[in-house]
Amino acid sequence: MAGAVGLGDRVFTRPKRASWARRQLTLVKKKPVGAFALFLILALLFIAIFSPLISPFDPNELRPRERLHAPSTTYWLGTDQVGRDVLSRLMWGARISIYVGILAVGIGIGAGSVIGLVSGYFGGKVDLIIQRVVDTMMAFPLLIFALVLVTVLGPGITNMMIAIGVAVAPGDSRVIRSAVLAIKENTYVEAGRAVGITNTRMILKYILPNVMAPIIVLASLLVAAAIITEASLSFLGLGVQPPTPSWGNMLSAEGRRYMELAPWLAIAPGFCIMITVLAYNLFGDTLRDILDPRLRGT
Amino acid sequence: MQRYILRRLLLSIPTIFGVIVFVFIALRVLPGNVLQALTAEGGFLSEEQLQTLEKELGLDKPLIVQFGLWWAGIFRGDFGESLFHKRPTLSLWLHSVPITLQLGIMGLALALLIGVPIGVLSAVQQDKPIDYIGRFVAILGVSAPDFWIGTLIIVYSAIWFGYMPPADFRPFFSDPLVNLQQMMFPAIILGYRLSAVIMRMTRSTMLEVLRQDYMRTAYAKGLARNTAIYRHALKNAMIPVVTIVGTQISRLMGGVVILETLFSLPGMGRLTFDSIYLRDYTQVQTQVFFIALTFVVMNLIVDLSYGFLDPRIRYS
Repeated sequence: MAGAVGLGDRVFTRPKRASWARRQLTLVKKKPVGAFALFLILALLFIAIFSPLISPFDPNELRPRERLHAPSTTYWLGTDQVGRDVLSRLMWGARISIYVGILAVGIGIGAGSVIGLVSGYFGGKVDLIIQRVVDTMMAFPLLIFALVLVTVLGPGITNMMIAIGVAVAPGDSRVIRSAVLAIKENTYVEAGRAVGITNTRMILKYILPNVMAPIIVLASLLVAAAIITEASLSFLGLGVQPPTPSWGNMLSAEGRRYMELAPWLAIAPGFCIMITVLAYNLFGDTLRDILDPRLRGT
Repeated sequence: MQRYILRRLLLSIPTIFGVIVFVFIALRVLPGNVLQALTAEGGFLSEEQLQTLEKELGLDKPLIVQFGLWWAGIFRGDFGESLFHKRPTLSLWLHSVPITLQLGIMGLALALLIGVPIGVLSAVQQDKPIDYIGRFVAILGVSAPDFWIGTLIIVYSAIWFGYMPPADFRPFFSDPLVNLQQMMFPAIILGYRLSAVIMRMTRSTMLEVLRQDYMRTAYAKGLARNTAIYRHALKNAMIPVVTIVGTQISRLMGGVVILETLFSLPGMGRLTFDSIYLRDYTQVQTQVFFIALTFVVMNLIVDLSYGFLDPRIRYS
């Protein structure tokens, strides 16, 4: 009898696993806010990926005759000072935000995890030196750190991603380090050492899988921070350069001059940033509740 | 206690030193050095002019000598001259401090006035409508970008009320009324953003504290609800809140850059941004040095405040 274990005359059957759809429904019922946030994130990803197909107009096409057109059935969110369709620019802007957000956090989490794992696992002098360097990097506010790096490297999407990634890495490494310090005390780590497992193997096979929960939670929360930083840098004119649309540069000084005539220009891009950041924050909070309640309040 | 402070100050020296090394190296070694940036800003310069400029900025000396000279200057209180303004960087920085300090104090006061009571209310009324409203408002505050709220305020106050904040900055002591008009909106935005963080922290620590045994004892011995909450629970819930306020104050510098730029306030954030933008490297070095110093001092103040809030904590 498959899936059943006999023990004398008692038979234990493994409970049937709920169907995929039912499990999703349970998630929605138990964590409605998290499920809603996940839905928003997926919707944004969909828009970002398929913006070339679904955006009603070319985001960079100038239509001087249609400039500062109020929202209408043709231009759902109106047009800007040179007649570009705001909705199409927002859809293409989603690509930049999500691309920069995810890749910057990838860089940050990658670097931060390596630093955190090494620092926490080896301890002693290695830890002391690494932590002083981390202290130094954490003495900068995220935006200023990114601002200095972007200025030095030059504006542009790739440089901005590197700058944000490097700027989030130290804070990230702290959280990973503290998780490693807790895991290190487990008896299985001691047992591993006793049988002579190499450090690399120990870190990759036994420590890393156990710190995955905080890494995942942190990543989702950091995406929110990275998106806000990207938007802020682009708003200040040091991030995504026009005419490439980005939610931040749509609100920058150039567009701001026309906002009194066309207030719709001020609303939509900021709203998109807020909703995206909100979705990642809520999703991160939910993940934290499920995966790692110890991180609450960080 | 004094020994503790002294030890902490000594320990912060490597951090500050590290910050200086980082800024120094980032500005000089990474691609895109000062000269290239300056010539890019100012158009074509002849080879001769480039050399004069290099000499003027001391960039012809070896890196280690430049570094040593800059350090020696700091110990004499000489932070160098701004490349752009041709004035001592220190005096430019000192001019910008009061504006940011005023903005910070107004924002922080507002944040505490809103954040703590709503956080307490939200925890006491957990899962009731008021809790949901409070949490929603707070998470919006964490998610909405400063520059967007600022832009909306500027645009809509002009459209609806025909109101524009006065353009020329006036210090508080020379013209308080105009000054407050200029500071009001950025302080509200700063306060709202900070209050959201404070509210979330107050709520979560209050929820923990309210379930402690001593709270049950307080109720059991007949204390009034409000006395129990404000005298016993709140004080104990404040430690993480103080930590977060401390870390947020140094992070505020990021928000201050945006708000001061948007509302044309000549404070520290604006000066930092302008000097980064103008490639005024000596000024950037000075700014970053003081930002890092603020961070270190704030951390120390936060740690010292624990002892005041929780007498069981002793410094050693």
